Order: sequence, then C-alpha cells, then structure tokens
Amino acid sequence: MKTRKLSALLALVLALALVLTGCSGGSTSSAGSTPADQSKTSAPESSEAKAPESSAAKEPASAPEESEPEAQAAGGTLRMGAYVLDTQMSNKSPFATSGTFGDMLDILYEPLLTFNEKKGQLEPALANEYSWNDDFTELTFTINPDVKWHDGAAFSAEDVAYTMQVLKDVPTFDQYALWGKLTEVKADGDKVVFVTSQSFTSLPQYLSKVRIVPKHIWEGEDAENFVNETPVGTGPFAWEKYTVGTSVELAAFKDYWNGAPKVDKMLIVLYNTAPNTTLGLLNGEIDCTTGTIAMSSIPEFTSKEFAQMDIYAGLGNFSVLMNHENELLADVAVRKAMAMAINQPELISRGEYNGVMPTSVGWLPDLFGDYVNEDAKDSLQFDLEAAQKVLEDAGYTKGDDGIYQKDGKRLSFTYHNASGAPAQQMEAGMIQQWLLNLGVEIIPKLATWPELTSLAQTGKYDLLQMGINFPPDPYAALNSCFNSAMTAPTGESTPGLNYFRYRSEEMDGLLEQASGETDEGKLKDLYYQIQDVLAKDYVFLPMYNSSGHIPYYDGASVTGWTDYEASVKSNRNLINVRPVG
Amino acid sequence: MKGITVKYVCKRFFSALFTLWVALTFNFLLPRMMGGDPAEFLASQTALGSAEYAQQVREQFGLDKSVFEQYIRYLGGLVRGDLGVSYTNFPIPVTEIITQAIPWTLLVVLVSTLLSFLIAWIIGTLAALKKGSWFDNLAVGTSFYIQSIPYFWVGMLLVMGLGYHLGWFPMGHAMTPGAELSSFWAKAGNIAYHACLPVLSLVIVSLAGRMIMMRSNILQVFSEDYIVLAQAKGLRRGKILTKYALRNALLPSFTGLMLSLGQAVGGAIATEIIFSYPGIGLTIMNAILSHDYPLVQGCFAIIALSVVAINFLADLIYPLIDPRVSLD
Repeated sequence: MKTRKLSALLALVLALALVLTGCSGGSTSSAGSTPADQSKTSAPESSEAKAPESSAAKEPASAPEESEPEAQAAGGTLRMGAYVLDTQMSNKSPFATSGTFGDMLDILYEPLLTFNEKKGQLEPALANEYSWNDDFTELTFTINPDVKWHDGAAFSAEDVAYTMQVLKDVPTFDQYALWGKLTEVKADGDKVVFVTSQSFTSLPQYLSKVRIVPKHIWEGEDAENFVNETPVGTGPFAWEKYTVGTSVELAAFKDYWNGAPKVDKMLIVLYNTAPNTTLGLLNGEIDCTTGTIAMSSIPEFTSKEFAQMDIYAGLGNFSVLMNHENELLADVAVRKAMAMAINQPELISRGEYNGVMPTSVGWLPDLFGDYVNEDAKDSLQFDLEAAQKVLEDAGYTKGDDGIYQKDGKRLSFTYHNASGAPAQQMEAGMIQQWLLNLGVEIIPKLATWPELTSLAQTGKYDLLQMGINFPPDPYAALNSCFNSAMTAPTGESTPGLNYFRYRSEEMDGLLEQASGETDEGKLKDLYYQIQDVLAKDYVFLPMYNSSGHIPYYDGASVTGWTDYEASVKSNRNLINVRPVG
Repeated sequence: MKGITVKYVCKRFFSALFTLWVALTFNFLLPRMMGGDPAEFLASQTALGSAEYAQQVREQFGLDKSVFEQYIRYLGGLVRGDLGVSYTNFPIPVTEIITQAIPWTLLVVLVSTLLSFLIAWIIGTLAALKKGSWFDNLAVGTSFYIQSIPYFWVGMLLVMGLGYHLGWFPMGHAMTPGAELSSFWAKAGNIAYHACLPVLSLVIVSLAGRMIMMRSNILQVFSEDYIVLAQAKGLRRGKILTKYALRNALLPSFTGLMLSLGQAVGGAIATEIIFSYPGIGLTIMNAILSHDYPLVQGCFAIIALSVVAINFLADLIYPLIDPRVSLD
C-alpha cells in the first residue's frame, strides 16, 4: 500500500518532467512537420544541405537574403509586416475613421484619384481625368473603363455616386464635412459630376481620401454598422482570409486596371508592437513593413544586405505648441528665442535616427511641392548665443538661478508630453534641456494622448508636445491651424486646430484671400506670404514631420520596387514587386 | 455536503454580488475620471479638430447624455449581457472583441498557472522532505535568483535567445503566419508550439515564489505535534506526507491558486507585448490609452466577474477541504 502511493507520486514527478522536456523537444519535431515554419526561421541551413548548427549562429544577418530561393519557389509571396492589433481587424469598413487597418484598406480599395505623398500631386486611379466648370462649382470625373471589382463586376459611376451618398447619410464618415459644401453628386454614363454650393478648388484633394465601395454589395446593408466581413474592392490585391492575431492573406487581382501584380500572394503579418515588427523585419520574416520600425533599430537594419529605407514627408507635423495667451509666450521675442535654442537637426538624428523630415517653421511639409516656401523653411537656424541675445535685446535679464526674467516675471513654463511613448519622452527631455540651456525653466508634465488633445483644445497648457494631422490640402493645413476663427479663449474648446491661440489680422486676411483664389500663380504667392508670416511670428517650436519611413529589402526575397517617384507601399509600387530571380 | 448550509451559501452569494456591484461602479467611473474627451480626440486626429464632427461622434457614442443616464444604461446593458459598442472600433460590440481575445489569454495564462502550481508543489515538497540536501539548496538558491529577475527581462531573453538567435521557437504569434494547416492536429500542434515560449516565461517567473511557499508550508507542518506523534508511532514518511502533511500544507497554496485563476482573465500584458501574442491584456491597455470607455468597462467587468465568481467558488470549496473553517 505505502510503496504504491510513493511510486504514484514518483510517477507523477516523472510524467511532469516528461511534459516539461516535451515542451522543448516537441518543438523540433513540430517544426519539422510544418514546412512554413521551416522556411521562415531556418530556411538557409536546410536548403544548403545539412549545415552544422554553428552556422546558424554565425551569420543570423544573412538569413533573410538566403531564404529567398525558397520563398520564390513557394509561388511568389510579398510579406509585409504591420503593427496592427486584433481589434483593428474586426471592422473592415473603408469608411470608418478609426479602429481599422488603413494600410490594408488602401490596398483593397481605391479613391477616384490617388494622392502621391512623395510628389505631392494627384494621380489617376478610378477616374482617368477631371475638369472644372468656370467658377469651380462643378467638378466632372471621367471613370476609368478598365476598372473591375474583385468579384468580377464592372466598376461604374454609380458606385461613386453611391459612396458619396453614404458619406451624406452617415455624417461621422464624412470626416472633412464635404457635404457642407456639396449639393449634389450624380452619375451620368461614364462621368460623375460633383456640384458644390461655392467654389471648392481643393475638392479633388479631399476625394483622394474617399475609398470607393461597390454599390451592388453595400446597397443592401446598413452602411453605418456594416463591418464588411469579406471586403470587395478594386485594388491590386483581393481579400482572401484573416487568421486571428497572426496574418491577413491577399491574392493578386489579375484584372487590376494598372496591370496584374507580379507576385501571386500578399501576406500581411500582424504584430502587437513596433519592437516586434522590427524584430520580424531584422529576422527576415517579412520583406517590408507598412512604415513601422523602432527608430533606434534603423542603423542595424540599414547595415543589412539589401536593406533600404523609403523616407518621405507625411500629412502631419510634430511640434511643441505654445499658448499665445500665456502672458510671457505672448511676446514674440520669447517664442523666437526658444525656437532658435532648439537643435532641430540633432533632435532628428538622435531622437528619430534621421528617419523623418523636419517640420518647417512655415508649417507646410515638402509633400506640398511648389507651395512650400523654402526661404521661410530655412529662416530658422539653431543658434543658442543669438537666441540669448534676442531675449536680452527684448529686456530680459538672467537671474541668479540662470533663468531669464523681466519685470519680476521668470520665464518658467509647464511642458506637457505623452506618457507611454518612450521616443516622445526622450525627445521632450532633449528639448527641455535645450530650453534650460537658453535660460528658460521647464516644469515637465505627462498625459495620455486624449488628455493632451483635451489640454490643447481648451488651452490649459503653456507648452505641449504633440502631432497635428491634416488632409492633403495646403489651405486646410494652414487655415484650420492659424486662422483666428479656429481658436477660442483659454478654457473653451477650439472649433479647429488653432490650439496655439494664435491671432493675427495679417494672417486672417491672407487666408481669406486664399480661400477664394482659383488662380494657381496667385495662390502660390499667397501661401508663400502666409509661410513668411508664420516664420516671423514663431507660432510653435518645430520638431519633425510625421513622415513615411518604410523599411524594405530589395533583392532579398522580392525585388522590383523601381518606382522611386511613389511610396514603396503605394499600389503603384506593389504591383511591380516580383520574386527574386 | 457536511459543513455547507443554505445560510452560508446565501451570505457568501450576496456578499459576492455586493462586491461585484462596487467593482462595476468603479469600472464606470474610473475611465471617465482620466480627463480628455474621446470624441474630441477622434475629431482632432481625423477631422481637423472640427467641433461639429466631435458632436456627431458624441451623439453616436451616447456621450451627449448625462453621466447618470450613461450609468443606468451601462448597468441595464450588463444585466442583459450587453457590454456596449467600442468607440475606437465602432460599431464592433465589446463582447465580440472580448470573446475573440479571451481564448488566447486563457490558453496561455491558465496553462502556465496550473503548470506553475503543480511544479511548485512537487519541487517544494521534495525540497522540504530533503531539507539541507543539494537538491534543496539548488532549488531554493535558484528560486531566489529567478525571483529577482523582472518578468519582461525573462521574456525578452527567451525571445532573443531561443527565438531570434537559435530559431528553436517562433518569436511571436499564436500561429505561423500564412501556414496552410488543414488537419485539426496540425493546427493544434502549431498553436501549442507557438504557446511554448509564452507559457515557459510565465512559469519561470511565477514558479519560485510558489515553490518556496510550498516548501515552508511543508516544513511548518512537519514541525507540528501531530506529525511528531506520527513519527514517534513509527509511521513511514510516505504515509505521514500523503495522509497528514500534504493536505494541510496545500491549504494556503490553494487560496493562491484560486486567486490566480480568477486573475487569469486579466491576461498578461507583458507576455502579449513581448511575444506579439493575441489576448485581452493588450486590448485593455490600448482601450485605456485611447479612452475607449465601453471596452475598458467591458474588460474590467469580465475580470471583476471572474475574480468574484472564483472567490465565491473557493468559499464554497474551502469548508469541504478544511473542516476547521467556520461557516457562520
């Protein structure tokens, strides 16, 4: 009896030990049984005959390059990594403004015209061409006759009219309130006509943000609550399937209007965090990402063979907002000195590893092409001594504590930035140190992104570090941020993005003129003047543009990213990507 | 069923119900006290900060109603099992998000909790039985060492060592991306393979404390008079251990196990982040960061419910395994 109980206990221990070792031992056998795993992690060794174990450890960096013959043999798959959460995959509605996987929706669905962020211009997509009437109140698009839906149905002007009707019916989908100016959208044969109540020259730019959906599928659905389980679009790759928390599989759409993709399949591998996405990239699990890379890993990535980075300006600027209703910040000398005390090139190289472009003191990023005032952009240079002189000339004197003051008021400000965002915090630390070097005291404060937005909106801040996004329309980018009609007194919510509480009659006048201007040359001149005003008023402390920075391997497993005039993740480029060899 | 009375069960049940109500009310209040308006945030991100757009979003979310009305709706919804609709993932119901994430969390956290307790009990018992031996010294020494390593470090070491450099295990995900797994067993095997590192990491960090606790429990029980009596009577060690010592030594650990099981639903945020593993932990964190009130409320409601339910269950089981527990 007694011995039996003891041996039962021993057996239990033994069984447990087996379970434990089985965990590690079983792995090798199960790796053998799943070929996909093999090609992913240890392909180079297995393909080059039986290499000794040590070679795996010897050159892990060469793994992505050498795994390519196998991936190619598998049928040509483009593997893209994305930092996307499971919850973002629940809703695949191309209308939703948040909580979806936008990069995937941009591959599946297309707008009438595509906005090329690298060249800052519109390109034909579902429409071949467009024309305005004389007073810019009627915009007519000619539909691209080669376009087909993924289910084989023909694309028509009716689909466009239907899509616009959905925006009208569901105001939360119409994020830029286009129906505030539109009066009618009608399909007429192979043409769609947009009628507006006033001249609306930037309408084509806004339409590049509207993904067109198939009427024959959406018609029977309640568009507001339709989560679009199996998307049907017009893009170069068509929906195949989603594996929870792991990957999305897309199939090449052979009838794509701009030519069939040169790979059979696209595998989008989903990661929970940016570091995981980066690790997958460094390990060669993926050929590119949607733009995610841990910035501090850029040097390690670019040192790898075939590694490339595509860097271009994006539709958003990071800056340190200054509240102009703060008594001290109302003084342009203080704002100017602070702007001059910030070493922007070092911020970008040390904080962002040169993976981004600078924010211009004139606000407009490079993607607006000819509208960007280069003189305004170059007017601000880092110069600590000159900055201190600006303060001294304005009557500020340095106190015993090293902080400048005037009339008994010290230059001391609170500085809010995002919690839970390590890069933001590190950069805030750099900026705070530079301001301290100048002789400005900083009281750091942390908040979540929504809290930061709320503080900015109600003006309950002195200095606040955040990003501001805008549509591909220079007028909107300038007007919503710097028009005095877009702000409110501290304590009240701003109706637009003028969180700075910036008010300038000169600026308002220029914006007023620009709003009705249809002549290209005059418009450019007005935008130049606006940027000059911004450059002399020092409205914010420029940081960097929320740029596209897409890492990719060209020549490892896939190649063909030859179109350097468009983003490597644009549909224009994705259709050219082909297996190596 | 000796020891359990209707009165005892009722008392425990209503006390559990009250605890749940308090927890659910805090769930409702806390996210709203964070400061910041989810509708304004959404508008500032996507719609040029338009106040009209923010107002439309507010109406869509029901945030234009008074807080009291929102609270009543929230409680009413809970009673019907309706946790509302996520803000950031509108119009996806919260229940759908949770039911999609929970199985992965339960797989990894439950398996690792059970494994860790089982191993801890066995090693702890063996170490106590051979107190002062090389095995005991090794087990205790290693435990103190492991106990002092933070979890994220263990996780990262496993990913970098066994995943990235050696390539023995996948660096993340619950399944191989893009793999064609036709049969049930191939799929199950693939999932088990991917769960190895997450489970291993959780077992490693939780093992030490539980093992040391078990060891000292056994040692304490062994110093009790009734054990000395048993030894004096000449009973064999095996019989003393299984018949007298183990049952008493396991009691404190049992409480720990039940608590851990209740908390399992809360997920393991660090595990999900490090191993890019699907689950509820990261969902909660992101819901908090984006002020997605219904999702935060829903997740915490599920956690509160499972902790309270498991505690209630423990209250019912306890008198059965320990008759000394007073029922009234």
